[in-house]
Amino acid sequence: MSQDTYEAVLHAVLGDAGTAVLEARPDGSFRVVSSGPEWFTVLVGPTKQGDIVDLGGRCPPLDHFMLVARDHWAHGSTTGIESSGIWIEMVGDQEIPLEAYARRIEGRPHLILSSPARQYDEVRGMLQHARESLLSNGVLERAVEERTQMIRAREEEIAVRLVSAAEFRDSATGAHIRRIGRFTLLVATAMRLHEHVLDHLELAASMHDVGKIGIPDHILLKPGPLDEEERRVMERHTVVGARILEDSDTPALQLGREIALSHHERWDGTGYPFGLSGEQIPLVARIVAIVDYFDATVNDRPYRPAMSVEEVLGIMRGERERHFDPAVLDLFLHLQPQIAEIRRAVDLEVAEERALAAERAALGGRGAPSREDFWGTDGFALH
Amino acid sequence: MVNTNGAWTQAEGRDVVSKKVCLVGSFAVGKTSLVRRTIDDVYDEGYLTTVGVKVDRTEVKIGPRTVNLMLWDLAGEDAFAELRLDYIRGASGLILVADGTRADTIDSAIELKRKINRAFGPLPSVLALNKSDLVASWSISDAHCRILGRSGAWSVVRTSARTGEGVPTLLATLARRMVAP
Ligand SMILES: Nc1nc2c(ncn2[C@@H]2O[C@H](COP(=O)(O)OP(=O)(O)OP(=O)(O)O)[C@@H](O)[C@H]2O)c(=O)[nH]1
Ligand SMILES: [Fe+2]
Ligand SMILES: [Fe+2]
Ligand SMILES: [Mg+2]
Repeated sequence: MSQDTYEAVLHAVLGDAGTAVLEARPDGSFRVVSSGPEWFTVLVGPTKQGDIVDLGGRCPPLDHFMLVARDHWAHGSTTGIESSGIWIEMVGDQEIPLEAYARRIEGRPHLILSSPARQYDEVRGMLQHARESLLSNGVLERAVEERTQMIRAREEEIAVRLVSAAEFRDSATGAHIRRIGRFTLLVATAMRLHEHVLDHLELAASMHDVGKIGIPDHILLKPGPLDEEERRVMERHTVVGARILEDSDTPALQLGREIALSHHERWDGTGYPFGLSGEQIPLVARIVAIVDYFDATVNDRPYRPAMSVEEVLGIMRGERERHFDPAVLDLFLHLQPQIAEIRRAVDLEVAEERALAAERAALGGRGAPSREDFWGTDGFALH
Repeated sequence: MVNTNGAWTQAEGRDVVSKKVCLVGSFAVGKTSLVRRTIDDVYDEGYLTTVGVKVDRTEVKIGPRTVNLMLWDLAGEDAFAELRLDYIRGASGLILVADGTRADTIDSAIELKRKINRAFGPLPSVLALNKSDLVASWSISDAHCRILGRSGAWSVVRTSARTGEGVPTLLATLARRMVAP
């Protein structure tokens, strides 16, 4: 095929198909083979077949592609083709998708410019659809998550209020409540209890003594030992707690009820309120019985000094299969390093909170540093 | 005259330099919106995903110097489309964009940064945490932000294409990082 015939064919085939064909010249300019589409005229100016044009500096993505194109014209295979990928060009006030191809036609280096409008619309439509649905799924997931978190935060607040109301009178510290929650979660996690239980256990365990709210002051706060009658009243904090937490469809409260009711049962059946024994006692309550005893005895109480951890663990070993579930006790003993870790962490937290509260009071109630303080006003992260 | 290779030239008695900057990040984080806010000072609620690349120009003044920025708005990455790394060639800086309401887009930005580092070496970069107008529903913690800011890999700027907050800061920060001696 002579060059003229071949170019006439190209022109006829491609000219109306939204494609411009150019031949690359050694000096970097191009000779127009076919300049059909209107956007080409807008971009380059009016041209006719055989004109020499300079394409540089008009479209950055095209300039960018030239390196790849020249390499292909110099070294690529005769059948191969390189593409620039799609870029968007403003033609007048219209966005037009364009794509450039480098190809050797009849051995000579050619640049084909086309506007793949149809494929572009198809690909874009598909991606648009896929991405929108990814986004709305994400929004849904986040909404559910946020709601769950909100509910949990509310539950927690209720519980914390209940617990502190009880605690306030008992003068047991908030730290005790916090440690019981974490110790219990630690042991239960080591026992691989179900995730649904683990999710709510820390909060549930911290409510174990909530029933003390129903015990009269003269008994709850009595400094010396209790007489028979007083002890019977005191023991009622289990059933009172269970009644407070009763009939809830909130998992943390249901679990809390179980713990409040049974945390003074003993493995050998000599505990209260029902004298349940062994595995009749809910597992979570058997765990709390151990960590509650431990934490109450290793810490100071107003009416008696703290004992050393070694001393307390010695006593607890002696209560294996009496007061305590042997398997849970063994695990608890095994977890002592982590228990010590939690005690340190809670001490630290409490100290920090105290310092923060003092600081806040000094600042006149300005509160903890906010996101704004962190970012600064001009949008910079302050490091 | 502006030298497209990025060398300093004299124009109107001032130092002028041109820099190619690529905007990359997960899909729908607001790359196109940030460019539109920069160029036309407009914002569109609607989402029209970008296919391919679009280049726009703007300039930033840093003292006596003018930095001409050529902003390459690249198609967002997701499971369906991967970033065409070749577009980064010749870039002097990166704007990584993440959506504060979607924590996973920060992971994408970090991953993209790594990928680009491996291919082209470290480039001056700024991470735009976009959609700051929605900060109440952001899913990233302050701790996370602090770690991002301290990494040294990039400056972190909180932006909103919607309100325009932080957008000038974003460009000025990157321009400063790019022309720093
Ligand atoms: N609220 C809010 N929405 C924004 C902001 N920036 C962008 N959006 C919205 O987020 C959606 C995506 O914005 P685009 O700018 O198209 O995102 P993109 O990163 O270019 O997306 P791809 O091109 O698909 O990668 C659009 O609906 C925008 O209106 C912002 O600062 N605030
Ligand atoms: Fe109790
Ligand atoms: Fe207790
Ligand atoms: Mg876009």
